[in-house]
Amino acid sequence: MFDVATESELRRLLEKLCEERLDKDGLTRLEAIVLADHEARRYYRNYLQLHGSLHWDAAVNNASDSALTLPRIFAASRLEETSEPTLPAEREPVSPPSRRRLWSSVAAAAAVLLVVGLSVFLTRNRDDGTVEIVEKDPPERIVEERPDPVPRPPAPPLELDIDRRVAVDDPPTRPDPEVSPDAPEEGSTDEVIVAFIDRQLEAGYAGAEVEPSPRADDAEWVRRVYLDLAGHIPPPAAVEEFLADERPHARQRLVQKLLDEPAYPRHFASLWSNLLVGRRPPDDVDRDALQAYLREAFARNRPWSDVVTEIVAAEGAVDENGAANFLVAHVNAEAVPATAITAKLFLGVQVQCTQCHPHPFNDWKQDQFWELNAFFKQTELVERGGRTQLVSTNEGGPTFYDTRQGLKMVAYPRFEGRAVDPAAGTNRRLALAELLVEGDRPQLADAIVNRVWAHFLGRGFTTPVDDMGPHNPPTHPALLARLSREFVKSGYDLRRLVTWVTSSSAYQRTSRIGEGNEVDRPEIGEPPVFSRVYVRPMTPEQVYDSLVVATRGDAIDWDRTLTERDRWIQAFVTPNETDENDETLTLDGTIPQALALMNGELTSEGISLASGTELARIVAKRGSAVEKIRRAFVATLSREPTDREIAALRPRFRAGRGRTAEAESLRDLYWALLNSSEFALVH
Amino acid sequence: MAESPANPNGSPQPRDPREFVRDFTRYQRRLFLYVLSQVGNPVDAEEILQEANVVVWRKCDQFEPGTNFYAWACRIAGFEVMKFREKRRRDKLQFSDEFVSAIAAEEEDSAEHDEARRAALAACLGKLKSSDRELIQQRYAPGENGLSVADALGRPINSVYQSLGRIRKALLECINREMAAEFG
Repeated sequence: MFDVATESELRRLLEKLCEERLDKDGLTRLEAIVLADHEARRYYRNYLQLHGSLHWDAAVNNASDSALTLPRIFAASRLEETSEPTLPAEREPVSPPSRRRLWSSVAAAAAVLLVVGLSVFLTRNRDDGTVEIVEKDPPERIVEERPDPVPRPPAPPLELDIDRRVAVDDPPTRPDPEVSPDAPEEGSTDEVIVAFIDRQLEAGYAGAEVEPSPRADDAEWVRRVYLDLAGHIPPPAAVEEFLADERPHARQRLVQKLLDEPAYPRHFASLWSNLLVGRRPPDDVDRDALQAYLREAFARNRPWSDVVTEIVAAEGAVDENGAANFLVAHVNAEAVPATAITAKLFLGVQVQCTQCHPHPFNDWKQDQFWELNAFFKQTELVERGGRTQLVSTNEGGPTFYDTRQGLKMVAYPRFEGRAVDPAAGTNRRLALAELLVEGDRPQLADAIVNRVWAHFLGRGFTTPVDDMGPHNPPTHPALLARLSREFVKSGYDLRRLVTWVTSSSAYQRTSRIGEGNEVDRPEIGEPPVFSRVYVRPMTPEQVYDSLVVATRGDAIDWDRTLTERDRWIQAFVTPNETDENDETLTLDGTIPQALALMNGELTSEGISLASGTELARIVAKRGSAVEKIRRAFVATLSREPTDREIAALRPRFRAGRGRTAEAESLRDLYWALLNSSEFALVH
Repeated sequence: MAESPANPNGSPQPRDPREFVRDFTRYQRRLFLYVLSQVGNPVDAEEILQEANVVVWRKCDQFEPGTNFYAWACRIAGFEVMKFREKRRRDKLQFSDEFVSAIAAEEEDSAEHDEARRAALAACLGKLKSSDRELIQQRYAPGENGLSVADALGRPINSVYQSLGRIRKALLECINREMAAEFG
């Protein structure tokens, strides 16, 4: 069916195709839509015809007079087709790049043919079937089999800011793109940086002709900030307290309060454990030790550069040095996964495929992959006393790899153009860690800024968040550049980065789409302008923790809960056993997840009327049925029910049906609320 | 080397090279669009057309005057598309074989309204806001693309992409309206 929604999706894909921004998934989707339907094929054809016509006519005609407007160009080119063919060479004295190539070969051939005129005719060489155009007198070959080789057009002079970054032999510095003239050096206080974020985004709204969504109400916001920072919905008491807080800066204060609570390091440690070793790592990985290490790092707000250094250069036993577990998980297969995942997580660059061939889109070449890989050459796992240890050997020398043509190549440790002494004495991973954090805006900073931004706003400056590079330019290059530099200047201070992002006007907005920003829909491939906060599904960990908060209330033993949670989630994880060491999670806000929730023990225990549950507490409280409905909404959705919702529910809570009937109705309501999509989304 | 007799094949009609050149010139644009629909990228399409032109030229004696020049040239261009795709298979994202053959099959015989659509485009460009027309003109100037235009204007790339998408959409809708008015 080629309905309006499909048409609009197809149009967005075509827009990307025209600007060479279509990725593999987009291409696959485009093909599927176009092949499925005749109307879609027509739409595709017409769109490309438009694109091609604009290209063709502008290119041919801009040559002679760049001031021509397109309509006049069209008039001119229509003429050309109805009249006798003229020599293109005459019409086009000087022509810029690409079309010239085409026309000059045509022109050369046509000119020869027409000048020679009737004395030329075509003959066939019966022996080999090739054709020559021969002049009768004198009998001389006048056209080569192929017209003169025409020089390739010069490469377009455009360059991406990310290209410039790869400075050779110097520490990486890059000019900030689009440095706004009104913001030279204005200091780096939180206020100044937040104001800069707001200004940059506002310029984006204007450019995209978008009216941003209004500020979210406090109920929507408090739920979101809890999910983002604590990893679960707010407990009902926290909602009531926040809604009652009428002092200024209540939101900023809540962010600071949450950053000081144990839930923040717990949540971020859990996120990063998943990124670093997955939810179900190999047996020799001590995931709990890694998690404990990270929790401590986030709790003490250790500089991100230090954390990365410790992870990349780690040595020791898996249970004694939690940071060692990242490489223990990925140093298999000649450290190919370690290379790829290090690049992806810490640099936001996807280089998996450059193991075997140059990257089709970004700049990475096969040698760069192996040069990065060479840093892991000394890394080995040994068994000592029944546990795995990560050690560095003293080995030196090159790493060997094969090109697609079967050539044996050597690689020495080298990162962003800077080589490290390949001799045996060098601790290569330590050297890599130093290179990663060098300069005033290393890629390491861009990558984490992009990730943190995406964590709070729902989308990064690039999508996917870990696929940065000239092939996938950021939506707000100047903003990314500034945040990245400020983050480095702050000493890689994650809490300050979080403070900047959560204080921005954008983060205060509702996730609802308004009339003025219907086009701001990155979920269908539009580049985000952050005119609202984008809705996303909860992670399985957020679902679990939120269910616990919604059903058990305030008295929660989080250590026990976490152990139970990770066991529960592992049942939905299958390791893929590929070279990328990745895994498939069947819990993703879809039907299996819904079934697990609706019928699972977790839910049935949670909504039991036995004492200790939040529901039992609500049931037991004195008060009207409406008051109890209200409490159920606050405990699950962190908001008051609307009048319509109360009106719809009230008939089930008629007075005089007895306490048991009321309890049963509340239980049904609770179950429905926990299984609503409003519950399972971060919005 | 072949001799140069007046009419070596004894073919019934003498071939008028001017006819061939006329067809050749007339169908350049349509062939370009034919190729473009299969590769999606105008610069690639130009390169392929260039290669196809060389072959068309070389095989011009194999063309039967009076038959459909466009269909004949399309077959040559289609072959060049295949060669190009083979060459780029490894290092460039491209359409699937299935997609290309489906599009090619349809494209060859659906070119009838091309000229009218092109005239409609000219009219529609005239109806654009002047700032929009300037933007689209800059975007389609030789060697340019959305990115370079954004750079030149100092506008965020994202907003330029959005504007271009909006203008192309407006043009497409305008062309469809013009066509509906003309052909009912």
